[in-house]
Amino acid sequence: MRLTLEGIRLTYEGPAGERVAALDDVSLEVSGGVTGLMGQTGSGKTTLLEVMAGVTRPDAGRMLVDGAEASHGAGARAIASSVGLVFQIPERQFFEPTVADELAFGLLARGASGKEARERSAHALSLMGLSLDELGRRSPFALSGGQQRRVAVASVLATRPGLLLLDEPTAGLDPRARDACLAAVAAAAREGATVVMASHDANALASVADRVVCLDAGRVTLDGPARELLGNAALMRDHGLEAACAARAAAALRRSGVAVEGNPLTAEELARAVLRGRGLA
Amino acid sequence: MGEMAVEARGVCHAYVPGRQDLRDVSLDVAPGELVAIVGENGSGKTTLARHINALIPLQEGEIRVFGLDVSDPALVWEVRRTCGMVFQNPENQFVSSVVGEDVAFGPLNFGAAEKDARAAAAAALAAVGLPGFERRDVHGLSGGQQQRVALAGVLASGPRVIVLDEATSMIDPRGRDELMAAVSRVRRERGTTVVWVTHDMELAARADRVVVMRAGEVAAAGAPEDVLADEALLEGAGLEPPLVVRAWHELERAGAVRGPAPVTVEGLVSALCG
Amino acid sequence: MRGVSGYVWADSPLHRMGAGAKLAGLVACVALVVLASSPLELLLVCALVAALVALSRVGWRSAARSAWGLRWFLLAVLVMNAFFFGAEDPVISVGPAHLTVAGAAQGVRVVVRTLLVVVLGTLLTATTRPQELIDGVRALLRPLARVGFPAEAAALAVGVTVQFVPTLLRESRQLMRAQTIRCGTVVSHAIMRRAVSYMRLLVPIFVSAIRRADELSVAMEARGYRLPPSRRAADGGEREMHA
Repeated sequence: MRLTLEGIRLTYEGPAGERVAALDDVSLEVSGGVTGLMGQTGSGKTTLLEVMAGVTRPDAGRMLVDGAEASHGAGARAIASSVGLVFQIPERQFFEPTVADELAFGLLARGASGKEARERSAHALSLMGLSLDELGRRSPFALSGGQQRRVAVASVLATRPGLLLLDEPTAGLDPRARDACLAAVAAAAREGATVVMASHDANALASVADRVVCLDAGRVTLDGPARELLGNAALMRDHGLEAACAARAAAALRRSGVAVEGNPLTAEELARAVLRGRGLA
Repeated sequence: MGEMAVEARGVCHAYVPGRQDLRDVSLDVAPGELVAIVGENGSGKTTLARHINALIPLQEGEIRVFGLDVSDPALVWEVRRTCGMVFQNPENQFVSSVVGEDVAFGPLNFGAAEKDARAAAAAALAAVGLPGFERRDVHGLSGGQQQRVALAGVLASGPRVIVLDEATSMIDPRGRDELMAAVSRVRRERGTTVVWVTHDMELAARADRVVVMRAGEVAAAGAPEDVLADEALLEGAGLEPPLVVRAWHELERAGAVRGPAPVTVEGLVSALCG
Repeated sequence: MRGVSGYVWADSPLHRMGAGAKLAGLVACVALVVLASSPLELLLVCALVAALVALSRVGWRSAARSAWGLRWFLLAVLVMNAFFFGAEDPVISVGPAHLTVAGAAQGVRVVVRTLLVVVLGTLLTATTRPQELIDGVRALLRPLARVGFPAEAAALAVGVTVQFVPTLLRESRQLMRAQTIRCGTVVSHAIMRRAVSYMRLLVPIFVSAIRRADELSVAMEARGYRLPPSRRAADGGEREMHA
């Protein structure tokens, strides 16, 4: 689905009673693919995701869903029925006695049959590299941290959201759980979901995002193709952010006079870029 | 060899009878050293870290912190004064919402007079690059600042060893850099020994020594150049080798480079320029 | 976000006073507020509370902050009392609502009493560190320990609660949003479902509170915190140093 934000503003009350801008004139359109959202803690990423999900009303500006006003009527219903939001540390929201119930909750609330709920839960969990047969009867509270996160993300994926919003889905995960999580995000986008993923992890974004939007103090400061942003160490540093590790290595090599071609984002690309720089590939 | 900062011998631990959360773990950390303990979730690294601080009862084996036996009930407070710990979630380690109050908590517990505790708190805040933050509200600080306050809260008691348990995993890159800079400064100024539990390979590459944990055991220990360059070892332990190492091995396969893989960006630069 | 613990760093007779004495004083002051019924008596209690605020040096703004947060609630209380207290001698009547002088007076009384209690509570937390508060609660509960009441655990619980209230409030707001989204309903159209989901919020909030309390207790222990019995056993000199 296509989500259009126009001039979104939102303020909150600061510690001394003053108004602080959480979002300041944010205009943005997302339609398909994976959009990475970067910015320091407190830059407004989470608030922006909540506005997109329709759970936080902006003070000013408007939001359109496939061209229809999203604040009421058909647009609001369209958002409510097709949005999935993975909050930070989503495993904190567990409340069902078993993993199977936890996964089925959202599906049953949306009117799916028991059988359908089970099939879709199993599929979503398998995208995360986990098996419903194995974990279904266990308590979600008894799983390891990495498993909990994957179950929590799967419970949102199972509803097949047309708009999938994720807030730091990989924070605190070890590499295995992180890769499974990122693969599932990429799969959701391939199946047609519009994905917006807020993350501090430039390497994680480099592996899934097509486009990156950077926020600073509630304003959009950068918006462009993922490679041009995450692959540009100097640009990102100027905005107080970190580029992909490969880009930082490439920048350091160039400063020391080693020729590196292009904007590498991964280890393999960095190696190829060095080889091309030496005229070997 | 002189006295070790941390000396663990044959440590075993089972949270539930029959499980093996730690299996025959031995570890030496020399005074002033920065040792990174890496491993995937559930590999036992946090359990080991908590043992060093006498936070969980030792079931089998022996651990000494600057000669103090952590299993001796009479020495528990001495152990915790000697070895401080910074935890993963900044929000869950503050006892007061006022920075100065929180930082003074440790010294007061260890019996310092109010005035001395205040002075220790001020000095500790200055040491982590937050001078004059005494009256600030912890909830109004950034994640990196919060973790530095937590570090100051530990420093104020004058520990000789600091254990950081995944202390960077919930903060942004800027916060991580701030915390790393603060730890470097503390090591330089106070000679403090640091044990850093993490799965951040860029951080581990900057340690003096790296210990890899796998399924409750020490899978490898040694200099970062040796341990982190071993892709098979790290992948077997559920870890991602540093990007620089992976890129180097790609270049090696293409026949463009030879020799041991560098583990940091600086190492890669000098290897390719040399 | 400002911590609910709300300690204001200052030096005043109230800051220096023992937490146990302050807690007892709070109980006495609240009793005065409840007992005062005539306008003159209420005015005297207001003067007393104002004097305490001045004495505390926390500033009028800090003292009034919590009360200001309740402004809409208090306004509602005032209006409800003024219109629904009684039906005798109404100034104006609109349907079932009758604005009466007695009702307005009652409304003012309730609002003033609530305000005084809130300000007194704010004053206690503004002049007492959470740690002192825990010690104060412990001191007050100690007599109960003899009849088997877990005074230590209760004191710790107070401290943990004070520290975590803001975080838990934020978390529960987020949980509500998360569940609304998972149910796929438009917020304003789902009042019944929200009522049901309030019940479901309790589990995660409870789990989260326990996990946080657990993490905090480990962190406190690592920084040398110990419950008084072992504290006295470990080294007797410490109490004197505090005194």
